[in-house]
Amino acid sequence: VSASDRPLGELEQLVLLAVLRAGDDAYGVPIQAQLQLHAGREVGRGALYTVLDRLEQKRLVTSRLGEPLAERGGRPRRYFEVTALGLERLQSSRRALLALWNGLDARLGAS
Amino acid sequence: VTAPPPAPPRALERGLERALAGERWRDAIVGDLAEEYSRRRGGGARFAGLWYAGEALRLALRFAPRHLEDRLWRRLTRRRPDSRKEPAMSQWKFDLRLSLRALAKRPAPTLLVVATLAIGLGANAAVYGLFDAMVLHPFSFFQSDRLIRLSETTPNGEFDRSNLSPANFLDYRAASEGVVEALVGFDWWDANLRRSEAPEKLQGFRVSTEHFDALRVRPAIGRFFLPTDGLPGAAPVVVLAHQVWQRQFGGDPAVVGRTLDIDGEAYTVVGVAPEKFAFPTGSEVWSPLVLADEVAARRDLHYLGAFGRLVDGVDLDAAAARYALVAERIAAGEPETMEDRGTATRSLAAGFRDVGVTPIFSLFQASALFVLMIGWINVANLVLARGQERQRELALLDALGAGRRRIVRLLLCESGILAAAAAVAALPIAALGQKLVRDMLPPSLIKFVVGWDAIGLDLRTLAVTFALAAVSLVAVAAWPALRASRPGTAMLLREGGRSGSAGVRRQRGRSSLVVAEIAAALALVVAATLAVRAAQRLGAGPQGYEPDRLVSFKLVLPEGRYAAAEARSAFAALALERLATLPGIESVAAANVLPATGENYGRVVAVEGEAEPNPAVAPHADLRTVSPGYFETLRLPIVAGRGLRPGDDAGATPVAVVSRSMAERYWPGREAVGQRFRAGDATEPWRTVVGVAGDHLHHWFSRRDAPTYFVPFAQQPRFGLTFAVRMRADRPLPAREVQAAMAEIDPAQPIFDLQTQRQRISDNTVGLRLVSGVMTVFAALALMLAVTGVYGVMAYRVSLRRQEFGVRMALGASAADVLRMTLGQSMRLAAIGLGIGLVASLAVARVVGSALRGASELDAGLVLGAALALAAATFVAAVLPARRALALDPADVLRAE
Repeated sequence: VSASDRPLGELEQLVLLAVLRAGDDAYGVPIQAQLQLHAGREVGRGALYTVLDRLEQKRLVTSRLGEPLAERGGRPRRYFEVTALGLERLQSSRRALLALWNGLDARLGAS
Repeated sequence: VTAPPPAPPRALERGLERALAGERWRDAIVGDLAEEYSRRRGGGARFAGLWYAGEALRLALRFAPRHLEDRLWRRLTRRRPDSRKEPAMSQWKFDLRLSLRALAKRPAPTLLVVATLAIGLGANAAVYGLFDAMVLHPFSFFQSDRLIRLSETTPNGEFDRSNLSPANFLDYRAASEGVVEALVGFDWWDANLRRSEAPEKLQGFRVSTEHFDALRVRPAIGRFFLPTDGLPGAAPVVVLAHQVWQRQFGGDPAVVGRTLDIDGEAYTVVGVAPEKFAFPTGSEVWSPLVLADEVAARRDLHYLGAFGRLVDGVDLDAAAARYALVAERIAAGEPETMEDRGTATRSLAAGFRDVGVTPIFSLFQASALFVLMIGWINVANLVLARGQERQRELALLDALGAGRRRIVRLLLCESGILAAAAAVAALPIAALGQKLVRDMLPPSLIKFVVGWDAIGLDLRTLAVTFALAAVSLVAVAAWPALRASRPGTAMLLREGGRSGSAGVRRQRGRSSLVVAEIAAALALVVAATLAVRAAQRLGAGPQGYEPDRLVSFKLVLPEGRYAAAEARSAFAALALERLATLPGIESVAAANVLPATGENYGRVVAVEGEAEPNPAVAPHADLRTVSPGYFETLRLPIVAGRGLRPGDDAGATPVAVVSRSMAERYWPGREAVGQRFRAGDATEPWRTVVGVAGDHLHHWFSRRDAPTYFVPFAQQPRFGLTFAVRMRADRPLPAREVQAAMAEIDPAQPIFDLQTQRQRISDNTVGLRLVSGVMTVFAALALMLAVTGVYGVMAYRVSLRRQEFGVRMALGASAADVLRMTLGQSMRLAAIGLGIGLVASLAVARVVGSALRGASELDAGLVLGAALALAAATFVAAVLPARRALALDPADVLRAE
């Protein structure tokens, strides 16, 4: 079983979704903001970069460097993009979850 | 164009970059943080700064350990990091937990390791705390390292911290501009304070008016000195030490402005120094140093100490160069007083340090390190033995794919926990050790011990302790860890249980550890024995006079009222007469200095009919001015001629009694009685030797045979007097009675330092006892650790060879054969260790000798005795496991296969 075939962890899913939501502007700051806004979760900065690193090694995201910016002390942003493989893995996670959720609405009292 | 956006604090950002060094995304991470920072700046710079610091710290904690580990690994193995990428921090936490569990599973060896290391670290921390306080950082003034002390050196380097003459001091002071703010002079002052109740002697110093400014202290109340207070003819003023203010005046602020009777003069109190301020060490009262014209011109009296604060941006060398230049100028103009004298500019700490303290504490520190290293050896042994047990566990981990690096990390984690626990456990041990040393020294001495207040476990001591713990970690863990990382560990899994013959090379390594332990222990035992014997001999051995039932006290006559020699003689005579009438007293005598009081005065001696000695190089003889009853009162025997008589007074022929050693040195092979000599300069009279007294022990580091001469007090009356009282029975002499008796002669004259002679000898030799006590503790620790180390190794060897012994015994080997095999081996190791230890002892004996200023004597019997004792201890430690080998039943052993 190679590493990229393992099921996605929860944090990995959240980060992938946050990258998608951030769209063209998907670098560290907005990704973290998305997580905070939609998942209501304070993800530590270090944890976020570690997860992004892992996702890139699993080829679920790619990254590229932007232009150096004065407001960052001349450092570039690193923009992330979810790969086709990443999308596929998100889809399969979603399917698995939905299948499991199916028919449990009454018992879980979901709105 | 807009202004550049606010950047995060430079230092923090740079620190973060270092912590993330090597991280692939470093710039992106730091950049993100900078971007958010500039956004948060709107909420306030302070808040944003704090936020940034918090975030940076969290990132650093997460990423830095991994990079450190990578770098360490690369350095240790010269290998690239594992290609297998591991998540950073979580793994460390996991390994830490795993190690804790592994240690808790084996509580006994874990505790043993922690205790062994804690003792070694505690000993080092205790000694370092003392060393730091008394040698390295004795003063805690504002920027103490900017303060210097100026002394002169005497010809031939005989003495390198001579005080300055007034004229030289003034020259140095005038030339200080640009290098030292103001050169402050200070002069010892025995201040006799008279209050309505009893007079009290205070330790005073006369100081230049800039004294307090140079040290940057503020008065508790009132003011310090004004420049005008130091001018000739100014009204006398004093500043009181805080504790004197509390003790004598109950802390009453109205003391400022009051006048005090000191030495019969009216001094106005202008202020009180802050709490705990006592500089020069022991100060209780200060008054301005006034140099009247006739004194200011003298270059032949060396009595002024000098210190000052370096001007900003100037270093000590510049000040030293300046003063050396001034000294050359003085020498050119006044060759006779400055001949072969030079200057010595030192840091304040170095300038005030007792010359004996450094070798003693270096000896302590070295011994403490010895103990720690013996501890390392034991721990390394233990780790090695356990490593062998654990090798299979580790091999299993390796086989499961943990990787060598992971295994090393696990082992390092374990040792790290052990070292950290030992460092923490060492602190109470260190505190206890320091308390023992503190309790040992008498308060009368502590007052003058520079840096005494600074003793404690301060930050520097803690840092040193943890650094030593880190070194210990490397010392005890690196070896087994690196071994475990070597390829081939997996072989052990396949090899099965029989490992008895596999470890020949390992055995050799362990044997050399035992040898080292025995050698180090012998050296420490010899050092301790030397110190104990010196303390015994000099403290409790014969003194040359009879110290039992002898009580003495001191007083210093003020120079103002007792300027005339006759006045001093008269006071002494009256005081002796009055004291003799007190109940229970057998006899009384007076002297300038009594044995074991820590004071001494010496003079160069010229013998009549022989070449005039060169005062720069000639040895000194000790000067005593004594009352006629001195020899009977001290029971100092007269071995030739006569003692001193009441008739040897100011009008009679100048006479002297000399000690046997003086007679032998200056009149070798001749009768000393009847010869004449002159002590001091040419203005002194020639004295006729009328008698020879036995030698006595004055101070432990001036040997028993220090040449001494005794002059009638009436012919040379001094200001400082010590009265010796021989009691009829062993009963105390109440200070109140003595003070009352003295008050009948001069009500303003306080007495001080009333003590029995035994107590004086005890105080005087406290340094020796300190050395012997501390060294005994170290030697005992070393011995204990060495013996347990030998035992551990022997027990382990026997357990490894169980099978072999079983087979041998089954094949007919006798108990004696087995005993010979086990014991023979250990005694061979002991012999090698003792041989090396003997050589080390010789070196250590020299160190002890220099720390005790030659008071220790090494003899062959002592070293052989210590070696035998150690051999016996080793024998016992080896016999116990050997007996276990004998008790083996061959059948059991073979069945266990």
